[in-house]
Amino acid sequence: MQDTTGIDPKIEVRLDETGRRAFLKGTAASAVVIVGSGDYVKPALRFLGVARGQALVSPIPEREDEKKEEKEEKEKDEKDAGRHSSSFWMGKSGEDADDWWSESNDAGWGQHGGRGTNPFQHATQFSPFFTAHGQLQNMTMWAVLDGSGGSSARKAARELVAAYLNASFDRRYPFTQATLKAMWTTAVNHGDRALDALRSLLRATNSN
Amino acid sequence: MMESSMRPTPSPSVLSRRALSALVIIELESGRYYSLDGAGARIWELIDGAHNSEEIVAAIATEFRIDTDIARADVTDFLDTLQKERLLAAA
Repeated sequence: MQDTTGIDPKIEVRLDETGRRAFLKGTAASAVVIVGSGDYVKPALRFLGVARGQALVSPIPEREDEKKEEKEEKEKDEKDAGRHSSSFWMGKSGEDADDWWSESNDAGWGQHGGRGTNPFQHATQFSPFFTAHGQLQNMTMWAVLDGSGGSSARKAARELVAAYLNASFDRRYPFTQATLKAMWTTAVNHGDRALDALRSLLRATNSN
Repeated sequence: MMESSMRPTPSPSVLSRRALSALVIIELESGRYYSLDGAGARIWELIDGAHNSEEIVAAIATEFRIDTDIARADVTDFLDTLQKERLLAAA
């Protein structure tokens, strides 16, 4: 697969119908994609939605009788995928997850099931770990996570840090660390609208 | 309509994600999300700047075992759609 961002083309995301509906509702980043049977069907571009602010706006109406099943499967999928919000990684969701990455090689990381070691700690500078942005100068990872509001870059960076922790913690997270870095760089290079889109995508992916 | 000698490439503002035999595409500037599957996903893979549209047609005809004329018509329509949606780099 060609890729304009340097993302590893071997990276795969497991997508299913539930994930697609969740994606369309703005609650998950895994879009629903019906995998073809191998028979030829005229190629078509399927429009899924538009990322605006915090939600992905779906052009496709949802059937009422699908909602209960979707909710149950969504809950299971999200639990299995190890997706967590920025609040979770700040220890505000009932678990002391802020203590899992407070220092280098934090023991809490592995004790709670994280892969390897934590990728960074609270005091790690956002850049150069991630591509620098003027709105994020001299900010630590913790400072990026902390707070609310701010510029498009601040909001996107907050979701990015949480996403990177998720991807490092659990390999089932839909995006790899390398992909997240590449997506961030691409968004930085394309300005606020791209940052808003990235934020929306990652927020949906991270949300519980 | 795209000329057969042109070698289409994705727009630099496009991210694409492989999903088994399908693809999810996001156009970062507009925030629009799309999916492709089957032949559409395969065509997107071939839009790499190395293949011209006629080579893409030949690949689709061979891989999906369809008539070349059908493949040409479908690939041409599909590339036009991608171009209109600004998913391809400007020629």
